[in-house]
Amino acid sequence: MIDFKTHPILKNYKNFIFFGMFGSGKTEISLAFARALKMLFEQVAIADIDTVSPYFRSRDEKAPLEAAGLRVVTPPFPFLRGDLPMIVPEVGGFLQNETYRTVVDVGGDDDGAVVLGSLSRFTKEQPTAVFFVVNTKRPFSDKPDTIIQNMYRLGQKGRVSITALIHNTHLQSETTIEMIEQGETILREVSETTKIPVFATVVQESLAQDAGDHGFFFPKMTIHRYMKTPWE
Amino acid sequence: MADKTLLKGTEAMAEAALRAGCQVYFGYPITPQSELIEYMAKRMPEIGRTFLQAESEVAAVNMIYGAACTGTRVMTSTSSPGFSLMMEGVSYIAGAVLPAVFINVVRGGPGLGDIQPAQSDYFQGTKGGGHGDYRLIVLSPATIQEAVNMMFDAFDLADRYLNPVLIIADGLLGQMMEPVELPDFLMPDRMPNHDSWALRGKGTRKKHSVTSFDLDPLKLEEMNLANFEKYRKIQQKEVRYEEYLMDDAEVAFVAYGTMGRILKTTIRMAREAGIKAGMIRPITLWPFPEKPIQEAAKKVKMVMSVEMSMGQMVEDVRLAVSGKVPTPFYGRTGGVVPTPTEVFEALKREWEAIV
Repeated sequence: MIDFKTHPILKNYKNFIFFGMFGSGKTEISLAFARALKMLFEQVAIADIDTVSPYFRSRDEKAPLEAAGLRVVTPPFPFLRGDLPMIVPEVGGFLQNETYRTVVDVGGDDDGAVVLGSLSRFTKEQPTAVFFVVNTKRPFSDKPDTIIQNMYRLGQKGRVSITALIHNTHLQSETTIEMIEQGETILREVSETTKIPVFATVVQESLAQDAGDHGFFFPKMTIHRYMKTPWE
Repeated sequence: MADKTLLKGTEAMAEAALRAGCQVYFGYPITPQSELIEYMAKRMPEIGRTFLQAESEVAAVNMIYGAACTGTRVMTSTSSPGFSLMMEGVSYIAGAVLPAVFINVVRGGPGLGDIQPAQSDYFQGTKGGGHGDYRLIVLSPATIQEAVNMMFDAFDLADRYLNPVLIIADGLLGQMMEPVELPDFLMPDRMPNHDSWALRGKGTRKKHSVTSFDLDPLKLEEMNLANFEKYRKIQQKEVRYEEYLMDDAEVAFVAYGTMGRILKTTIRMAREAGIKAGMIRPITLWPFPEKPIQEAAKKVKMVMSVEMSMGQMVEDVRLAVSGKVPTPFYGRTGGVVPTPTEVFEALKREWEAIV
């Protein structure tokens, strides 16, 4: 189980980038990281550079995040829900500024990665951890070969080298422990082939209680789900 | 049971359409459904189908008209302003008695509006939108699994009645993700046979002709009458709806699409507070489920329509209820999605006014 209070990763890096295929769970994990960082550091920013999805983005959580003392970097209010791929120059500033720990929530697939690539000048300047998020229950993500192809292609377009994978296999409320373990088997193969480590297996809060002390192959990271539908 | 996958509404509808036998897709991207067209662009060449991005929605709908003339399973997807652009072609396709499937992932309007979820295209879908006397078969899913199954139903209905079918999904359904089980690909022998009328090269057979016009008004009237005979059959046979907790209900909500899901939470709140609420959720918006609403109006004290619009379906609800009980309306528009709690507050206000 990952204890963010003592885990070296939060102390060793200044920036934390989450990218991956469309719908792999980057936003939820970015939010979890940002909140964890806030427990350790005074100044934490989360930059939403998702120009792909029109809803269910970090910016939808702007008010609660700001209430928790985080700096949320998004396009200015009139353009918050604009149908334009807009990245504010501040994003680069927060990636450079050493007094801030900065989380970057990237949009999915190639289009999202290209936006990340446009920031490479900044991501290379400071110690930056780059995570590739995988949910094996998503299309084009259920086989080691496809995951590896996608990972390298997106990595190139994002002009980043990947620090670690984050294993986020889930089927919302229908997730089972067995399903997560099958996902781990796939990610183990990816990791063995590419020599890129797996940082964690993500388990949603609701399932984590049922799972109890159940040991997963990779360190367990429990997250709370923020992005909800109106009837949840 | 097949394995479930976590799919976004737009992706799920795209994959389901391919499995339902969609051979050809023409379209033009627009938020909040661009992932659907992107998915088609990626996936269709892989499985030997035809994908083409048109230069506009006006071009796309006319390409659909052409493909539909050959009896091929053809579709497009768009969002509100895009569907407005297609209206002329939709009218031609309906007039020419052709099968085609349209998806409108509705966003806030009118005009350019915004990219948030809405249900304010109900009139456009069910009452015309284009010119002339015609009807679309209009379906509306509430879950992504229902949307997947509906794609098969949509193509079957289009082929059976030779009529365009429209699936109205609000932006929320297009953008959210849910676990989904995808049916297998439809076998070619399950595909309809349109040899008797389709335009695929004359060869030695008798001439076929597909048209939406006749210069002789009497003949044009005959064409319209034949269409309306067909619409009558559709009204008799194809009404679909879901009833939820209606057995002991004193209040009947009427809501479609994701609004129907929000209301299930409201209904739970209402029942906890002692108001026995239930719901009729139209799955076909046309033909509209008038009969179950007429029946409900005999038992309940109030029928309340809740929509993400300024009140469009409520007109059909009021026609069905015919003044037997109060039929209040609650809605939010412009891309605002009502919360279960605010609908509950609205229900309490209306309920207190009549009891």
